[in-house]
Amino acid sequence: MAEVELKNVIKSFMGGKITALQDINLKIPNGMFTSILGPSGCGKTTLLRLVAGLEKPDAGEVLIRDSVVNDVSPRERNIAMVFQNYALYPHKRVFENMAIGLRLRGYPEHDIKKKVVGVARMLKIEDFMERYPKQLSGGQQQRVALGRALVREPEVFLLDEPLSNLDAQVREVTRTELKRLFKDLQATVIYVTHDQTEAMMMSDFVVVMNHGTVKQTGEPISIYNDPDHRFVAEFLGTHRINLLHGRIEQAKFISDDGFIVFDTKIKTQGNVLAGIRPEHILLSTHKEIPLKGISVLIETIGSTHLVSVRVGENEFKILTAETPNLQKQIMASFSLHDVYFFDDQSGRRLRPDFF
Amino acid sequence: MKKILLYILMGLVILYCLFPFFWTILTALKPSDEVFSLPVIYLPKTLSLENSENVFSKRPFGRYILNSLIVAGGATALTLWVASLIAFHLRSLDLKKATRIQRGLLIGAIIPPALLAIPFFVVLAKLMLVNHYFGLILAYAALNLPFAVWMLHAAFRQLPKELDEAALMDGFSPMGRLFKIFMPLSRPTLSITGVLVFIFCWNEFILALTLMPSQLKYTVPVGISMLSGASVYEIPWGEINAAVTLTTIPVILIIAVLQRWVIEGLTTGAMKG
Ligand SMILES: Nc1ncnc2c1ncn2[C@@H]1O[C@H](COP(=O)(O)OP(=O)(O)OP(=O)(O)O)[C@@H](O)[C@H]1O
Ligand SMILES: [Mg+2]
Repeated sequence: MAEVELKNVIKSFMGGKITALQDINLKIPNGMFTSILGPSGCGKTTLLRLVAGLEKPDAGEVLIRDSVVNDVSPRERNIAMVFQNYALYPHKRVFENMAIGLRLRGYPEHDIKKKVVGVARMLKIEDFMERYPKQLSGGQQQRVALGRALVREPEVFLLDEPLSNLDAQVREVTRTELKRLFKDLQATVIYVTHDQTEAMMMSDFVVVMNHGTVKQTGEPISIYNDPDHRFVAEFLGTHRINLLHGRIEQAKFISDDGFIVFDTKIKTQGNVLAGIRPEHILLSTHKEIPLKGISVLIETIGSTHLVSVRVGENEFKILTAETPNLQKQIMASFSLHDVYFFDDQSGRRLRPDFF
Repeated sequence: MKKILLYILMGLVILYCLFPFFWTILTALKPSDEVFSLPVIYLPKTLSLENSENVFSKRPFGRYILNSLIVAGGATALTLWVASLIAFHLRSLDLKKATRIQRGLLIGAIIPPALLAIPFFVVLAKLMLVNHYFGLILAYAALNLPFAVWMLHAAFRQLPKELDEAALMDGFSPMGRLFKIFMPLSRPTLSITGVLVFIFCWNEFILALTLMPSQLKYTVPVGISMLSGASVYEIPWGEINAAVTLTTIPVILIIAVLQRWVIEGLTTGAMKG
């Protein structure tokens, strides 16, 4: 178990033509399951590879357990990585795939056997030990790759989208199993994913990234409820947040089309985006800010519905358990403390006590 | 109908390709008087091993075959080993740089070996390696390296980079990665390259003649060229053909053994994860 820290880390490729990470400062807490969450190409894998020692930062420091490891080789870092494509040795049987790391570290043979069998039993792959990776399904290969990391009992586990090659059902089961497994181990885990559901469900700590920068860090629920940036608000949540263009004048929000006006506690003037999540709008008038419009589309998701309501020139999505009718007048409402305001230019969150 | 035509054409091509070889075998099996008789006797009336026996009794042909095996085998092993090391390093460079180095190597391969016979002789003479197996092995390895590096570099590049990195994190040393990961997974390419290098060395004449001129160090091609009759005007065709037939057998055997791996590579080549 060890804390991982990145200080002012910069990484670019092709002689500086592609900037993958720009000035990353990040503390990954000890013994926690941390997700690195962000869209494709935002630099998640690059960050993981820097921690693993497979890439060298252009500038800055990588620390594991408070010591700088920039010049420590991957095999001396006491970390294990599960690759996105598993990277099992195709010419070695499952047992050997899992045992080789221990063997090269000079463990005695009976210890190796005990550890490998133990992990294999835990992952329910003990029946495949004599097979080659090619003779396994994707889910089984994924377990072997995980097993190879687990037997080494490293200080830090690095997992690069280990579930992305599995089909939806296996993924869901494995997600739960992984969470339980690492909870028991109390290991420091850095888990890369572009799937916000995965990150929200599995992690103790989430790092949201975009364009090679860290946008926000924190517990999943606090990031969800209190996004610092427009990007974070948009990226998290099963249903996309409603964003409304408008401006604030004398602490009053006025939407661009003039249909929605309400008082705020924001002191700044100028163009803003108001964000409100679909589940925070009620199909009733109980909340203080009313919304009047026409239902134009209804998407049913199991027992709930996502209703699109046209208000002036904007369309709102509302999550509800009731079944409304199409093309009907809708009376909805939401409360001010569920609304996030973002600066129109920078996307940064505007808070009531900003000044 | 189309199929039959195809088979007939294929048969003709095979016949065309293999005829010299058949002719060699047939001639080798003819008694000496039938070899020169006119009109030509295609199928020998009596089969005789007279030619084959002569080859071994008049000359130390067993020794020549041994020489060839040592030189070709040694050169093949050396070439594959050094080429693997070079290819392993090239793979760790970025592709542009690696290709540039490789192209440089290839320029060396364009020069015809015959042109290099004298420079090789001078260098090896200085090293006191003329008439030594190792001298000729060095020369052959040098000639085959560019080709072998090219093949192995291509094979190594095909392996997913994550596989190498997984090995790195598992704790393999660089040589461990090369010998335990890269080479076993490139076995098909290694065997094809090995076969081609071996055949080159087995057939090579001018360097073998120049660099190992002592009688006891003749390789098979040199030995065959030195077969002669009682006088300058007599060419012992029967014996020459018997020698050629006998010395082709080891090559065929080696290819047959390695073919399993070559085919294994063709069928199981696709490797996911
Ligand atoms: N070896 C490399 N050479 C050049 N560019 C690279 C290299 N590795 C990554 N990049 C670039 O750096 C950026 C970040 O890549 P990275 O692989 O870290 O993204 P990611 O967040 O893992 O994406 P994904 O979710 O698709 O895996 C991308 O623009 C990518 O093209
Ligand atoms: Mg990635």
